[in-house]
Amino acid sequence: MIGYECRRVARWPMVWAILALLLGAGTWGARNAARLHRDQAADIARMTEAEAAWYEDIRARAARYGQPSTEEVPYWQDPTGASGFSRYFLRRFAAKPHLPLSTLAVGQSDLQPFAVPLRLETLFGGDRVYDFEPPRALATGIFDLSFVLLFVAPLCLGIAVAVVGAQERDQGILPLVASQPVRAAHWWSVRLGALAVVLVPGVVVCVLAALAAAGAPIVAAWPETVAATMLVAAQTLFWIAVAGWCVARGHGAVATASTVVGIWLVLTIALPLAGSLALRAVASPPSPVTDVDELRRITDDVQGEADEIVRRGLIAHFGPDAAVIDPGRLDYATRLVLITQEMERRLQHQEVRRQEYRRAASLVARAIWWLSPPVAFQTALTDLAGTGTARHHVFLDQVRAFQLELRDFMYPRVLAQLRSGPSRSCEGCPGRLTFLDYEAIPSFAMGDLPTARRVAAAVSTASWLALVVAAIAVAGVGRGAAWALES
Amino acid sequence: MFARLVRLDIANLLRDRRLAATLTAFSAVFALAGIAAWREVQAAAETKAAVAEAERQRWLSQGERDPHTAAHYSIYAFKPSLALQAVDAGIVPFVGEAVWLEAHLQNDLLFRPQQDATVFERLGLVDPAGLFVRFAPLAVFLLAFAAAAREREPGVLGLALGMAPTRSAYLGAKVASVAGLGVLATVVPIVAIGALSTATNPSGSAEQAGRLAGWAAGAVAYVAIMSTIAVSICALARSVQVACSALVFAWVALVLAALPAASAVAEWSRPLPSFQEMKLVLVDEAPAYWTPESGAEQIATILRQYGAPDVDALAAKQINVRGAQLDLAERRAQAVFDREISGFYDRLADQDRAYARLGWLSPAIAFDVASAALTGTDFTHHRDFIDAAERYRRALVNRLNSDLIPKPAVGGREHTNNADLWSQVPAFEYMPLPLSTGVAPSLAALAALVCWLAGGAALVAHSATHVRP
Repeated sequence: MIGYECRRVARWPMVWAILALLLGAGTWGARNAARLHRDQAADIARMTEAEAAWYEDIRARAARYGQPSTEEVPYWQDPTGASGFSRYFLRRFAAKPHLPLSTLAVGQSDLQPFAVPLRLETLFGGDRVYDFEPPRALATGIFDLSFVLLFVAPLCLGIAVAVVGAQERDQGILPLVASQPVRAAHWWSVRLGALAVVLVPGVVVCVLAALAAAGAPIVAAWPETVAATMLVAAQTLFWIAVAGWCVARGHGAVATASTVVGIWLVLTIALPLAGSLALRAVASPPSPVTDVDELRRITDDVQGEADEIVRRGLIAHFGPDAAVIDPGRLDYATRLVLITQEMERRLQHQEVRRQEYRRAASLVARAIWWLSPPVAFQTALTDLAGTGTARHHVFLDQVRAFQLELRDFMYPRVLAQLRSGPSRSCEGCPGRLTFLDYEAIPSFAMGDLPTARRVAAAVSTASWLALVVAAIAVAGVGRGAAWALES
Repeated sequence: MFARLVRLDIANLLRDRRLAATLTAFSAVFALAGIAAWREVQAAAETKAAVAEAERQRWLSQGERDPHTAAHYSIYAFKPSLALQAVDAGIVPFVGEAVWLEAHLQNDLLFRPQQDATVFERLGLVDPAGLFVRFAPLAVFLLAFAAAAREREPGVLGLALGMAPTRSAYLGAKVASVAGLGVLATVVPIVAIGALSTATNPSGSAEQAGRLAGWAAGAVAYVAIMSTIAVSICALARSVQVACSALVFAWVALVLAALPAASAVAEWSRPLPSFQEMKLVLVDEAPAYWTPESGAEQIATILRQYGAPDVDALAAKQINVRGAQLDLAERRAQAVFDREISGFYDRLADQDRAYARLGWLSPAIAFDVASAALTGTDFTHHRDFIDAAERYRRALVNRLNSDLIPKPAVGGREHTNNADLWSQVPAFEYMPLPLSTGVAPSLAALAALVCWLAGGAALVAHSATHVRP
């Protein structure tokens, strides 16, 4: 019977039209994501080249300023002085490279920065910059593979299941079927099983073909590919089960399609919207405008006490002997070492507020994850692709850690100048020559979660979706135990 | 007779309790999103106004200092949260809302509200017009299906057609009733929130009210267009199954997928240069700190400019070399910003115009563009703020440099100034683009919307001649 049903489903032109639509739209979407990520990778390569050229120039200058000359070079133009270098020449950026299967979903990679320039004096991490993707495109959303899977596929699948599944009912021949020696539950199960047998591999093949057409290394990154396949299969099964449940309840094609659209709306749009409103109700996002106001006030306060702050910092670093150093005679870059630390101390609560909001958002996201299978699916897809907010937060935490590492590297060298005095190590040289160890400057390399962890997370989501599918199937079989001949 | 038909259709539709409940749910979602947006916009507008005033006071009371230090201290400018952002957030969640106007640099706007959004926050973006563009057609399609297709199901379509004076009147009444209820359920709640926001927002003005009226007219047109499409589909479909499938496909194709797809086509047809590459050019050509070589070249230029043989002669002419260098570097940087940043934004605006032209392919695209333009939340309006802030920055920095240039350092002490000078720099007051200028780049979309409306009417007329019981 299953063989007959499978052949019957496979003969429906609508099934093939839907698969063709998913293949076409998915391929276009995957290629859009691939283009975006290719451009971002090219930007990272360009920035790496520019940084290398920058240090090449610095080395050339250092060699020149290390030779006796009548040239006068102020400290802020001298890359051989530790303080001048720390403020005006140190150039490092942190990059978040894309993972092999990033074309699965653009996620937040169109919005969140993939490369963050670092300066020592920026508060709490890298510069607040972003890549300027067209804001109109950000508002409409990128047409990528995950858009097709989240927005287009469920509605198409719902209609296919509704039309194929309720054909006998809509044609008025269901009583004839009911008169045959077959139980209703068996009939519905076989019908929906046949739909699943055709549609699940069909959608999976479309997704794999779309990824391959976009140049994703689906063979080399096989663990991610397998996990993505499981996710897509579970999501497809979920929508077949939802539509099947409606058919088993005795709904016709129209009622089934309408119910599927309604359920999709609630799960995909209404629940996230409710989550956003709930999040605002329980934890308002910190206002950046208020933060700016506070930043400016505290900057004024700190600048007003700058000499005292620098004096205290020097004593803490060098001991009581440092009390003889006049803070007013230090260059700006050296003073900044101690002032920046004081600014961060006084603004720590802003950072705490931001972290608290982030935690509240994560909690709501977790709740929505359990309530809405489409959100769970999208989250798993973006996490697997490495384009989600979770990975970005890991990146930002590492950027902050790297900034502290840079400070640990540079600050002692800047302050050490104060002990070694202003005299130059080379008589008659314009350079101060207190810092030449450019090769020793730390570099950033993002440490990602192991692939196995990301794959395991995706498999967990797929398993959760499979459980939901099983529950819906059990409910559907229960509903469809008797022939619902009256619609 | 026509009015009676419309009244009858509306009464029949409202008699269906499930349909009435669904429409109420749509209204509630739009109203709830609107109220949340209004509260946020209101709070943001008040905060920005208060902090902008505090910034001004800080600027005036910064005390005595080197004018160039004051140019670095400068101010933060905040993009006003306009009343109609409660109606359509447009690109606002995806662009910055504050900019530090300091010397040497045309900084990016900071603090994009959606920067750290999670998956559910981006899916559930609180944006009434965003929801309206995407889901009002669904409400309309539901109404049309209930009004038109369901008469076919029990086989009473022939009877209904026979009772109407003409088939056109029959379908016209369907369109009017569907559009009327659609407007009531989807447009009215948002316009009410918009009116509330206009009345309570500091930016509220007659112009904002005019913009809201324009938005309401556009929204009514959008609902009417969707009603004509839906009623025509239902009339032409041979069965309710086909009508239902066609309506869902039409919604996905014309609305849900059309917006990102059109955006992708616009990006493909008008690709932008790399923003990061542009940033690297700025670092190379307009550095905040110059090298000894470029410093020497600047001095040579300044000597030529003042007809002085050397730096000592400049001092004799009461020229502050550092001030002149800062001024020269600033003006050169401004030329680079004009070429690179403005050039980038020009291309972005061109891409937006390409997107607006795709309004001919879908009324959702046309209304999406028109809505953001009418509410002042599109890139044209955003750029106007960027340009205004940059003009202010340049005026401020140039004024401070001009104070520094004729006052050379005395005994190694640089010239300083005080509130007398700071108060000569006016406060930053941004006047948003007037409607006539702001909407101009979106005229193609508005024209497309009008044509869609005419096309919809023609489609209904065509359907009337082809409808078969």
